[in-house]
Amino acid sequence: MEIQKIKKIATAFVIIFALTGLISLFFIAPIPYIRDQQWEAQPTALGLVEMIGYIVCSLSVYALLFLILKAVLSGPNDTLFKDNFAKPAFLGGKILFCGSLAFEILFIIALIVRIVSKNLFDGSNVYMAIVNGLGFELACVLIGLIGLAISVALVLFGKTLRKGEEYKEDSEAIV
Amino acid sequence: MICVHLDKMMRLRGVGLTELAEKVGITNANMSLLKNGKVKGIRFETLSKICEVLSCQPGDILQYMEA
Repeated sequence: MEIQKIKKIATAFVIIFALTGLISLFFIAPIPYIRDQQWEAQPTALGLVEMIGYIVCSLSVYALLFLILKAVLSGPNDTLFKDNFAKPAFLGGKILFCGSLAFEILFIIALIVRIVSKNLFDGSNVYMAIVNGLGFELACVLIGLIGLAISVALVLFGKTLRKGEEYKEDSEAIV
Repeated sequence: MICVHLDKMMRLRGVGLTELAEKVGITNANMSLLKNGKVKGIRFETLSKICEVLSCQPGDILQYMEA
């Protein structure tokens, strides 16, 4: 596939992903906080921790998207697409990895705390409590795991491309 | 040392790396190397083709600077 085609596809993907992510950041992030507010008459610290965890992860994803978008939109006058993509992919992978890891830790702690304290099962409707409470945390853990997998793939991809760069830097070519 | 100002001239003429590489007849990778000044040398043949495509003089692309 031509580099220009890859650029167009990557740009479209990044824009769509960023827009949907941005919408979800505003609508999904406050869910645990609002849920606790409704159930317990006042917002809990746990809900706040979950919200912060979601925002941390989302921001790390946006940092990555920004770097990729910058590389993709660098234009045909710049150096090769690979040259531009290698460093952002490597750096973005590392940022996403740290963000996802923080996200994972926060949500797993929240999940354990909720199970141990049994505050999910105090209500009369246990089924709804599981769906509303555990469902969100489990979904977030799953998203975090996907994020980790993507970040590892990006780091590996970035490393592969950087190998090419290193080879080129040692070039003694006469063109 | 010799500095390569190919990117400046490409920007002035609105020519992309891929397009220039195709017209000159060298690979994208080699053009990228040349643009970044990471080559040992340049053939007169390549230089004249670049000058032809970009409508410029070798002095517009190459410059001697004291190290």
